[in-house]
Amino acid sequence: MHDSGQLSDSDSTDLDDARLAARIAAGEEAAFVIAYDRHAGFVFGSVARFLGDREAAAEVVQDAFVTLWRRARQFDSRSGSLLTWLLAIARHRAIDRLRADGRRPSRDAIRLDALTSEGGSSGNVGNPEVPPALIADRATDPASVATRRWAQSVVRTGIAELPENERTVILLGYAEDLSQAEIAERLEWPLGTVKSRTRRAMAQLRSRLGPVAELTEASGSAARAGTGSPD
Amino acid sequence: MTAMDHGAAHERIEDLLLDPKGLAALEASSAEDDVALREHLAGCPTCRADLETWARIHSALADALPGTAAAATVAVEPVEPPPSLRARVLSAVRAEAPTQAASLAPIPMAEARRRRWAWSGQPRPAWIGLAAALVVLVVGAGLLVDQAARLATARDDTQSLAQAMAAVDRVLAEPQHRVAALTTQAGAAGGTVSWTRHDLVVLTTALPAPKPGEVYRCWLSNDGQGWAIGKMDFAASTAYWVGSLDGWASFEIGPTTLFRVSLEPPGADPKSRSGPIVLEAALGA
Repeated sequence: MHDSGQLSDSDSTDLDDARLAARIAAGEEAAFVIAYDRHAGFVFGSVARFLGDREAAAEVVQDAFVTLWRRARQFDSRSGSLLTWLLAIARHRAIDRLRADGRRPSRDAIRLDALTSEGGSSGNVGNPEVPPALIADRATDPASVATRRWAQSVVRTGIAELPENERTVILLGYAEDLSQAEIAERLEWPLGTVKSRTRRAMAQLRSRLGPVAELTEASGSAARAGTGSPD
Repeated sequence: MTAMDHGAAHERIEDLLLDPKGLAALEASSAEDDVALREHLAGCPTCRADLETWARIHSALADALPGTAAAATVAVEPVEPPPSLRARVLSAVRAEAPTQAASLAPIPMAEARRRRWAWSGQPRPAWIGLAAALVVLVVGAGLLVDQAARLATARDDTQSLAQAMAAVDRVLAEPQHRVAALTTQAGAAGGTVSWTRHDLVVLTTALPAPKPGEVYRCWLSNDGQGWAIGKMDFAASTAYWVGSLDGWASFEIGPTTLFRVSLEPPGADPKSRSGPIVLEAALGA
């Protein structure tokens, strides 16, 4: 490992994924630290939500970043972002961990955030956020349940990363089905402000979530059914 | 009604995204903008792909959020990694640092020169010292450059091989590992492919060094569909490829999976095979 010292601020913000991976492949610890600081929070948030176990999530994230260190030269920016690559590794490791533990991603897992904020409550029986269709999936198709859980975990982490005002408009729009005008009225914000914050939020979510393959697997058919084929 | 162009189509799609029901309502909408957008989408694969991406994100958002703002707010609270994780990860990657450098330290040239010039105690004429210094400067510099280059090459080769062997060790240490034999087109043994769910390592001494511009490219195929996964690297006479399957979320090694190596001519498309297969292993056998 070459500890080539600190990269300058401009280096750390300007380095795109391809150059960052190339410098990591060359053994630059400083470049690796930039990648960790840039992506560890997102990867950890996704895995922790998926597994429902912070310590297990930490081990998976450590494993994913050690893999990045070993395999950085195999990263191909034409195939996706570095975050997408790390998430794919973490997802494999997380599913392996579930298999090794002999369990499936549980309702507890997706509610990790709720559990921690409620002081460790385990009372999620009848939890309204678990649709009956999903419970039926659990009995019949663990792989699709895992894919959907992973997609939900990644998406929730993406929303959690948004600035608070942008997060609020997304929550009101998607969780409560409020229109832009209704959100403006509820929050007493100008309609133009609600629209601009929604646009910014959607752009950031697309940037972070767009390349995540599991979103396609989990929701592609639903999306097509919902919008109709333009063909 | 005038035809909608790309810019107007993207603007309309962005407007629809403002309302969670907007995309779903597009197909049935009789609004002039929506009719024009549908006509544009029918003839524009780029905009259709853009709409599909947005639709997936839209659908994923709806699927990920519980039905009340209160529950959704809790569900998207930030989950931060423990502060100690950064130090743990850095410590783990430092433990991965190559350790071969010390054993390959360059020959201490200054010490070697002192030994060569150990005279027998007789006084040396001054001109001999000057001439000797010039010879040392001219010849020594050439030797140093040549030796340093050879040492660097040897060090790189050894380090690369050591990393490949370390990868083999990791694979073999996994209880679920598999190994398949590589064979040449003539049927002769030509090395091995070792793999787990995560890693795949190929080692062979059956390949001659490629000519300038040529590459040995590696392929994985399932049921006749192939993917280029990289090229063989060389360390002295050993060719190797070390890869991870983790980046391919949907790829599974199955009964019909083949690993192949082709010899590609200079300038060949790296995503499409044009050279002959020179090595092959059936991973599902």
